[in-house]
Amino acid sequence: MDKRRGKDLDAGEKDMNVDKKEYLSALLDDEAGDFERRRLTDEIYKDDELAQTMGRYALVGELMRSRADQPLVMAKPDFLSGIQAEIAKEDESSPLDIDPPLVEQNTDSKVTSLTEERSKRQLPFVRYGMAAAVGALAMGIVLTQSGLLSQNEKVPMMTASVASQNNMQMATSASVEPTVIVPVAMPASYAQPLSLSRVDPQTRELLKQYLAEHVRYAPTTTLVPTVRAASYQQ
Amino acid sequence: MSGNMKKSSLFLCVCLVSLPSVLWAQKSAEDLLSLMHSAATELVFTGKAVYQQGSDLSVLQISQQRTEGGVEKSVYLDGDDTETPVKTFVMSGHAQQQSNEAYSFDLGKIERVADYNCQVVVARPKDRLRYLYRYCIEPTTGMLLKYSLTGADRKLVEQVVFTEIAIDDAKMTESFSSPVQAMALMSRQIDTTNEASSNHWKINGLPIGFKKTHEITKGKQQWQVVVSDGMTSVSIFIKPWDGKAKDNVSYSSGAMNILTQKIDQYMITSMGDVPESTLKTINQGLKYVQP
Repeated sequence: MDKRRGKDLDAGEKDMNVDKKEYLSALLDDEAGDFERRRLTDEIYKDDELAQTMGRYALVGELMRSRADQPLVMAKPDFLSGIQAEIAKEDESSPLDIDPPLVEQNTDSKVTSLTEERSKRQLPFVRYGMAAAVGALAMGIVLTQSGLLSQNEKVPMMTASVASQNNMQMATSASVEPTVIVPVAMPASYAQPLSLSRVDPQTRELLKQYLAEHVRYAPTTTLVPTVRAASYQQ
Repeated sequence: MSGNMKKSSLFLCVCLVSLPSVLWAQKSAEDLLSLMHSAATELVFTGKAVYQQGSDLSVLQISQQRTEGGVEKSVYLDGDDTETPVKTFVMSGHAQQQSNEAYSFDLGKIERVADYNCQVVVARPKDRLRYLYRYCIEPTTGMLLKYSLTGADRKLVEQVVFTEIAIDDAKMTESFSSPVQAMALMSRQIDTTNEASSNHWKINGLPIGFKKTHEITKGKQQWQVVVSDGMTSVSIFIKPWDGKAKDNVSYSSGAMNILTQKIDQYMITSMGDVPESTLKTINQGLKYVQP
């Protein structure tokens, strides 16, 4: 219970720091409101870390501005059309180029981050010698085992995902009705958004139609959705 | 007069002196945004813009003309020899007043973009359900000359910058002369030749600031519902589930997120410049109401 409360507090503190940094950036860009400007000025006097962060941000800003006199390099239209042609070619020739299942990646990254966190936590306890090391090793084994267990549990899921990919490949090679490229076996919480360029033609057409309707009736964000929707048409 | 009273009086004076400037700045930022929204559906212009999304860069020619049905906006790929636009849009929606509940608005510095001076306006979200917008608006016409959108991780998601632009000021003054008048003009009825307004869908638990602005019947058992917080909009397309489409699929391209979900016997496709979690929240509150 206390641990959870501690985590909540940490998360809250982290959010506050992110907000402070965001406002700090706005302050340096002369985009902070009067109230935030006064609040941050007070905070900077009290908080050394924040003052250092401000110093870093200011330095970055200065570096960026000092490069302003250098000629701006712009991509030529040929360059862009070349890239678009390559993307179009890729879409036609290899529409089934799907990212590997993310379940395993997520698990790995989780384990990696846990390992890193664990190793950080171990540092202050090195002086306690072998006993702590053995304890950490034991914990590592437990974690690894639990990781393996979770991977084993996901085996049917992964197999189903591979099977669905195979089915899609067969469907495409036989010129049957296009299939939506979706990691169907993945739980929604693990699935990451797909790029629009990787959607099957039928779904893409439907989404384009929806996008045009969205732009027509939802113009509150000015010209930007128009530009974006036009970029999808290319 | 004691020292404490002197300090209090001084503080009060500072507050009174700074209060009008704070109020003026807040109002001015909102006025500029209203003018910008108006310009998006009223202004006549033609220009060249650079659109950056992640590492992708596009150079586009954009022209906007007024038509009887609203505004026609054409986008051409720069360097393309053909006269055919990449896409032409007829825009006939209307803007909703931006929400102070969901965003705080600040004025930034004056910048020079495409040979025009423009005022930076920042719309900073008060929660993590939407993005941070930074606009540079030409204060006379409301023309948006530079725009960027920043995600919750403080990374730039996309930006548009005009490199050259010609604005038809005469057409602008014909249309309106004040932001209030402009907003009134924008609240005109939508041209719905083959579509009809309806009210079959209710959305419970919308994120703060969002309101339903449109519901359009697209055909038999097909609808588009639009919700907006004044800065961004989400469209929800509803049609009967055909038994084939996949559930819980999300697509992403820059700021635009698209989510398809099967809810009851309907396939729901929602899209907008909001994080995916916001789309999920909106979809979950969707309820069909028998007329």
